[in-house]
Amino acid sequence: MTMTRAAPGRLAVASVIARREAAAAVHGIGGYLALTVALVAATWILLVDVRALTIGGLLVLADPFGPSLTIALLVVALYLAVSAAVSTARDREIGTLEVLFWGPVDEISYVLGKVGGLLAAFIAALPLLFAVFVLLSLMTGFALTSKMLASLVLSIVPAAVTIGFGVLLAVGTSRVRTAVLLLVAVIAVLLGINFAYNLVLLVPVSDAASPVLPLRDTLAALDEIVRWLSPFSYLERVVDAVTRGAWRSAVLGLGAALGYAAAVIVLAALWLRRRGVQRSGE
Amino acid sequence: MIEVEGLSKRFGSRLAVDGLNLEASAGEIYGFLGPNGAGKTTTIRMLLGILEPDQGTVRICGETVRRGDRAGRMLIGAVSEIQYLYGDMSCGEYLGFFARLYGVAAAAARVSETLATVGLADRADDRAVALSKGLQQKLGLARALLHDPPVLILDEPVSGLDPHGIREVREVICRERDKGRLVFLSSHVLSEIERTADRIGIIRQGKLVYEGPVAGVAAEHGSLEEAFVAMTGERAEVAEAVT
Repeated sequence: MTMTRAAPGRLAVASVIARREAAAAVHGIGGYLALTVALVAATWILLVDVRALTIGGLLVLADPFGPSLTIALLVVALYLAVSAAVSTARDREIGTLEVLFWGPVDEISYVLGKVGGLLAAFIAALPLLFAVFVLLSLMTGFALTSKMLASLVLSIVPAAVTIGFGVLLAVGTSRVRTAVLLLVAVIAVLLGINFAYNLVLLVPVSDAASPVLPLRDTLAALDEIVRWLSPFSYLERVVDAVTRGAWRSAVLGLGAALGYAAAVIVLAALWLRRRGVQRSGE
Repeated sequence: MIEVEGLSKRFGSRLAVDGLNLEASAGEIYGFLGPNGAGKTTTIRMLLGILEPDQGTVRICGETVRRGDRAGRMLIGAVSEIQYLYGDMSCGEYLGFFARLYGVAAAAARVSETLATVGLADRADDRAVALSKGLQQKLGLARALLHDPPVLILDEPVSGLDPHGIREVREVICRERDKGRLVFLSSHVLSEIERTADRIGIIRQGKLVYEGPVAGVAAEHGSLEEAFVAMTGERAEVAEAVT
């Protein structure tokens, strides 16, 4: 019998949870469906550009693959955020969360494990995305740049933000359905503000007393907040900066993403500690 | 091995555990009894370090247990009435996952050994969720034994099992007691407690109303059931437990 043995380190515990999480993501069909959707969307955007080039004879883009790469990465990151929310909420719903905490798992190792596992799944998807972009490059004649490769690699940091965000929203919920609805609602609000701001910018303003102006100012302020709150905006910002070769912006974006990722992980662990690990109603 | 002093826990206006004191030693089966809502599960959660007591202390093997104390949990193997399993894992994968989590050396060999201990050696490749309740209970026991803890905390381990299942789980529990482990056993099945426990603690409305040898209290009241009724005033509870 073991009378005294130290608990394994938090990172060791987190890596066991991460391996389980990554294996579940790799073996599930959902990830492949999301990847397919991401690649179809990316190809479609690229084909729109090709068509514009064919018709107009001229297309000015910092990187022809920039917009399609952004979309592909956003789709994969969105899927992983939903997966993180589902997996976290399911642990509480089916009771496995409490069983984990009977052992050497604590809040921070649990959250790190969840985020780390799904981030590993994201990293595993990157070579596949790259291979498809190589294929698209051969088909369209657009050159693949080193910036595009750098965007793929650096997207790992903002991807951690989106996954952590999914975990953060789910740790307080009791059911998978609630977690998914909450995540969808938050994303809808974030996208809705951005959409409304872009829409109001299209409204012509004839005089300084127009009621559109205060609305536009309010939405502009909200949109700026969303830019810092939305986990997806970090991914967009970093990829956009790298493909444009704006390295200072890219470094700032990466720093902000790193800080945000750390913040959501710590907040998720604190919220989980406050909420407890029991199933709902126990 | 387990020392509880002045343990209290309140949920809102309800005092779930009220100044509880108890002591259980190595190499014994300690039966922890009480009616529904008496505070058994709350006490167990505080022993496991997943619930913070409002007052009092829990010591296991001399170490004070605090919420989130990961080292303290290495001293305990826990099993609940329901086994919360992963739908996609076989029994071997399930135990392998927990063996890695506990940092068990030679995890694969230890998994085989524990499966054999609980009589599931031929079920390693079966999906855990597809097992009968009795076999799932044994799988839970195997998980609790993986890291070779000195203390086993079992919450209703034979609830819902058929007589064969009860006997098999009982054999495992008694064997582990004979190896020198402390088995802290919470159950409603009084006949099972009477048969297996060395000492018992009876809790009512969060307070310990009896602690001592099971044989003594059973002899004094005619049976453990009569003792339970006399101390808790819960005849309906006993009737439910007996059925």
